Amino acid sequence: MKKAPISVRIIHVLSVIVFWILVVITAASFVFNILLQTNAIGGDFQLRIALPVTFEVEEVGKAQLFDTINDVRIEEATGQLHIVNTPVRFSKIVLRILFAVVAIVLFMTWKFKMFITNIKDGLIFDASNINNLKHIAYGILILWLLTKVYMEVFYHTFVKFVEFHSVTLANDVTNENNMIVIALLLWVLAHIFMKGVEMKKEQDLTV
Amino acid sequence: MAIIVNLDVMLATRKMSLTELSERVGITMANLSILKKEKAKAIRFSTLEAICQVLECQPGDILEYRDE
Repeated sequence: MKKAPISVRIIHVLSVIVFWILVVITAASFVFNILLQTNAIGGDFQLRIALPVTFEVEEVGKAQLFDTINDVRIEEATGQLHIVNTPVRFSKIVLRILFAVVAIVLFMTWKFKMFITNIKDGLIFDASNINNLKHIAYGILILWLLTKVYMEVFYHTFVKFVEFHSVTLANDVTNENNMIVIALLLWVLAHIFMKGVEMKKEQDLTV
Repeated sequence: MAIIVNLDVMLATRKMSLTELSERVGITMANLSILKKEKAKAIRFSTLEAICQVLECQPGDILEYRDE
């Protein structure tokens, strides 16, 4: 059998490594969650959570552009919110969501590993590849939805009421819609593969 | 399927086995079985030509159209 291209083999090796790292992370996250939910650990959490909104800052500086010195100003920034001495109840909720995210990412990585293994083994237009691509697309959509809900809820129940002295938080939750585009592209790719499988079947049954 | 493959009939009248046809035509047994069992989606002209040559027949003797 013809050997797969080097690029496919590299991606395959990387996907296997990433998959097993994620297995370890998910297992650790699961154990950590169980310990936290059963109050076996906790009490001194210092959670740092990505802010679901941008914030306005007034910071000026100098920057060299070619041979001139220009004034530059930061107008909008993103950042993390450090909740000093995070209450255990809050940590429990955040870690449950985090575990769900890690589990979904593991699922997608597993499906990707299966997909790239098939490609490496020459099973390109195979029915299982259609399902793998569709499952990755579903995973991305679920992840996007989960992130969206989490950011909206986090903003409307907590971040909105936070007050700072020198920065002003934006009113709108940041929209990260790139994931939908990727999911749709994978969906289209799955349909192309579907057509490919049909053509291969016809080719196989041509004598 | 509306297209009927009469390969088994032709083999019987020529008193030839599928294995012998496979060897003489140069097509694998698996492919000839697909054709004989009417599982094939398409047939190449080259395959048809080779079968007709060995069986000394016309394409119409092997393939037949029946209105379903």
